[in-house]
Order: sequence, then C-alpha cells, then structure tokens
Amino acid sequence: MNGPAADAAPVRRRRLAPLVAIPVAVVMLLLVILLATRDPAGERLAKSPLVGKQAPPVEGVTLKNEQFTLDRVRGEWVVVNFFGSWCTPCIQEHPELVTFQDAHRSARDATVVSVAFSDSPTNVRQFFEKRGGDWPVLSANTNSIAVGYGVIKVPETFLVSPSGVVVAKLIGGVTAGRLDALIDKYTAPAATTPVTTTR
Amino acid sequence: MNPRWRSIGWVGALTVVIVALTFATLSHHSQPTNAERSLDLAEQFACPVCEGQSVAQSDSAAAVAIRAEIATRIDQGQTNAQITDYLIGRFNESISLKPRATGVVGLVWITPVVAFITAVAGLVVVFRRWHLADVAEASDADRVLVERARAKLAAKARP
Repeated sequence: MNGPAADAAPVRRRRLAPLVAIPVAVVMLLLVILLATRDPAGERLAKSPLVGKQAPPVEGVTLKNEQFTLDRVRGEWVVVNFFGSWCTPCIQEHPELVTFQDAHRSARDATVVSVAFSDSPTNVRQFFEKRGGDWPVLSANTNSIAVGYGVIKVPETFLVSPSGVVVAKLIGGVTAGRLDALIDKYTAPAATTPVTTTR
Repeated sequence: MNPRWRSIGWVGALTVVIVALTFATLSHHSQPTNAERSLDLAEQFACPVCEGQSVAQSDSAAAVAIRAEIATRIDQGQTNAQITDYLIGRFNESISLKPRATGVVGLVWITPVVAFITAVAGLVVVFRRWHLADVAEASDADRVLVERARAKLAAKARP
C-alpha cells in the first residue's frame, strides 16, 4: 500500500542531502581557512589614530612618590604599558616587561612606564611588590591618560620613539623579544614612517 | 454657541499650546547644566568594548573613563565640538554614534537625501511619461473608421 509515494521520499531525501552537505562543507572549509590564516591570539599590532603623532602626555605621581612626565625619559624608547592588577594577560606579560627593562637598564636606551587602568593604588603596589619591576608606575588619576591614548581593554602597549612619537600600538600581552624587534625595525635607517597595520 | 466665538476659542487654545511648547523647548535648551551636557555627550559615543551600548549606558572601565573625561573637559569650558574632536582623535571615528556631516563620513547624511531626491525625480519623470502615453492622437485611419461608423448609424436611422 505504500507504493510509489513512499518510494519517492527516500529518493527525494537522497537528492536533498548533497544540496545541504555541499554548502555546509564549503562554509566549514572557509572557516578553517579564515582561522588558519589569522594572526595568532596574543599580542598584535593594532591601528590607532595616535601612531605617527606626538605621544599624548603621561604624567603623574609614581608609586615611589616621584613626579613623572614623558619628558623625563626623552631620548629613550619608551614602552607605555596600560595594565590592571586584576587582568590575567597583564599578569602573564609582566615577566616579559621585567626582562625587557633589565636588558636595557645599563644602556639606558629604553624604559617601561606602567599606567594602571581602572585599578587602585593599593592593588597596584601589591602587584609590583609581588611580581617585581623597577620602572615608573602611575596608579592614581590615570583615567585621563588612558583616554588620551584611546585605551579600550588592557593590556595595551604603545611604543614611543626617543623623539616622543608613537610608532606602534600593541594589544594583548607583549614579549621582550617583540618589543626589541620593533625597536630594531624603527631604528633601522630605512624605517622612516611608522606602520599602522593590521588589527 | 456662536460659530465666531467658537473659532476664537480654538485659535486661543492653539496659541496657548504653541507658546507653552516654545517656552518649554527654549527654556530647556538655553541653559543645560554641565551634568546634562555631560550625559547628552556621553549618549553620542559608542562604548568601545560593548556592542550596542553608548558610553552613557555602559559600566565598562573604558566607558567610565570616557565619561569622566567628558565631565572634566566640560568643567574646563570646552565645547561639545572640541570634546568630540578629541575623542575621535584618540579612538577613531567609530566611537561616534552620530556621524559628522563633513568629509567622507558626511556621505552618511547626504546619500539618503540624494537618493530621495533622485527617487522623487524618477517617479515624476515616469508618471509624466505614463500620462503622455495615455493621451493617444487619432490617426487618419482612425478618422476614416469613425466616419464609416457614423455613416452606418446615419443610414440605419433613416426611415
């Protein structure tokens, strides 16, 4: 009794299957290609309207109770690092900043400056006591500095040239090697203009 | 009631409404407080970390910092345009929920107007063409046909 109508259903299903499967397979393939060709997670160069411009002011009182301005370190490469003691990627990148600072301490050609974002001076002090790091750290009234640099989500790092120009913005945790590579890149004679590349 | 008095009553009521609305609008916009300006401006910027929320609505750290910066700059006497330029210069154009009317971004405002005018002009042209197409002119052949028909009718009408 199930005659021709019942026989037609599996045939129709068999025809429909490739029509559904092929687009799904194509989408999956495109996804794999997209994920395979993307920049790896972690630190990335990011676009910023500030790149190529004079660095916005970074000034305030440090954890050591000293007055700090960017002018104090003019002539050195400056790594302006926005961080939070509550932020896991910031905790992960911290040893790299310590390594970077130690490597440049004697030459005095580069320094780190940390600016706390949405944090309390007490927590920031404990963060540095626990994890080390001997460079200027601003922890109070830093909202204006963060907005001045267009900070969205920490950690964000800006590389400022010895002449005070922002040459790169990096989002995510940085490494000492990456910072040195960028400094080498922009110190090389051919490097005339900063790159404002991918995000 | 005399219709004349009724008309005067309506005109009077309308006048009162217009005056009240004008007064309310002007008194509201003439002297906004710094807090009102701050809130108004914060509503014109997108929270940079949260989709679909303005700086005024979001409690993210970035939004809180931007709100504080807007308030500080208003207290310093900066204009809305100065504050807008500052924030766009730091975060880029995408932070603004109200696209500017200048440069390439201005196309956002101009394009719909141009599209509307073009569409209206197109409709006018099409309707005119349709209207002209409806007015058909009789050809010589048509006239001959009509004359023949009239002649037939006249012949039938004769006794």
